[in-house]
Amino acid sequence: MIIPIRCFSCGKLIAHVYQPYLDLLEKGESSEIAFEKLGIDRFCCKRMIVAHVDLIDDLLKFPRLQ
Amino acid sequence: MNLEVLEKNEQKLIFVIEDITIEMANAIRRIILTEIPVFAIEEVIILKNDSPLYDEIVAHRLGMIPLKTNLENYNLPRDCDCGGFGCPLCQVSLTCEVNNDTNKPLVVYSGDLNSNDPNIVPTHDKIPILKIDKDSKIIIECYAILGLAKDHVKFSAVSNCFYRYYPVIIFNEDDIKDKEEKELISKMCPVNLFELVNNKLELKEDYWKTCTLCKACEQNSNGKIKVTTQKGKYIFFIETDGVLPFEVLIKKTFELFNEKIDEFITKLEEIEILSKIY
Repeated sequence: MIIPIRCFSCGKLIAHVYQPYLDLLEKGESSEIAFEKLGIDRFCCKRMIVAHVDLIDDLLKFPRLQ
Repeated sequence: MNLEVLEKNEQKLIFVIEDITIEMANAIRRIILTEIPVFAIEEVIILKNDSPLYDEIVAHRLGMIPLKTNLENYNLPRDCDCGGFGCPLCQVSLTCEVNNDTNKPLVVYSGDLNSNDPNIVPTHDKIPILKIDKDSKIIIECYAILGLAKDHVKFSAVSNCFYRYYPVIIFNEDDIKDKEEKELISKMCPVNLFELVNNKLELKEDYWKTCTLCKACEQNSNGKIKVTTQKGKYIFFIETDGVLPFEVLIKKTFELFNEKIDEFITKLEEIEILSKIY
C-alpha cells in the first residue's frame, strides 16, 4: 500500500529513504550502493524497501466509501 | 571505568567500555531500550480524511513518527499534576491541514504537521504519512505525550542498542607449520582477519573491531589458535532516529539507574526493619 514508517523487525525509521532510494536506482545505481549511501545496513530494513509494492496510486483512482 | 569512543555521528555511537561487570552493562542496555521517556503521538482526532487509507492506519502511522524530545520542560502524564488528563506540561498538540489544490495526487509529509511547541517536531520532514487525490482534503489533530518503550515501541529512544564481548585471539606462529593449514585458516575466517604474507600467518591489528567470535580459526587449527574474550571489556553500539542527542541519552540512563538503585536500597531497608520487629 504505502511504505511502512518503521522496519517491522528492528524499528528503524525507513519511510523517508524510500523515495531517495528509487531516485538513486533511476540514476543507474545498484541497490547495494544505494543502501550504503542511505545508511541502511541491516537486512531486515533492506527487505522492507526491496519487497515493498506501492499500490496507493492505484487505489487513489477509486472514491472512498464513507 | 574507562571509556573510548570509536565512532560517533548523528545516527550511530560505538564505544569501548572497560572495567565494568556484565550485569552493569546489561542494566545500561535495558534502561536505554525501555526506560527513557520519549515523545510520540498517542491520541489522534481525524476530522476529515479523503485518502484511501483508513483512519486507523493513519493514526498508527502518525504514532510511529519519531518526535524530537525535550525532557526538561515536560512530565510523564502519570507524574503530572493534572493526573494524566492532559495539560501543557505533559502534552503537545500537532495539527495537520492539507488541501490538494493541484491537479495531481499529493503526498502529505511529516513536515506538514504543525506543532504548538517548536522543540517537539518530527525528526525528519520527509516521512510520507498518506497520499490524497486532487480536490481532496485532510484535517487531523494529534496529541503527543511522553511515554516509555516498555509500554509501546513507538516511545523507544533508540532503534538499536547492544553490546558484545571484546575478542582476544591468542596464537603462536611457530605452532602452525603446515602451509595448507595456514591457507585454510586464512580462507575460513568469514571476516578475513588472517593474512598470508611470505608464507607467514598474520593477524590484523584491529581484528577486535570486526571479529564475530565464530571460532572458525580455532576449529580449523585444532585448538592451536585460541579465541577468548577479555573480562570486563565490552563494545557498545547505540543507534538512534535522532529523538535525543547521545549526551542526553547517556546522562538520563545513569540518572534512571541511580534512581532504581536508591529505590532498591530503601525497599531493602524497609524489609530489614520489618524482619527485626517480627
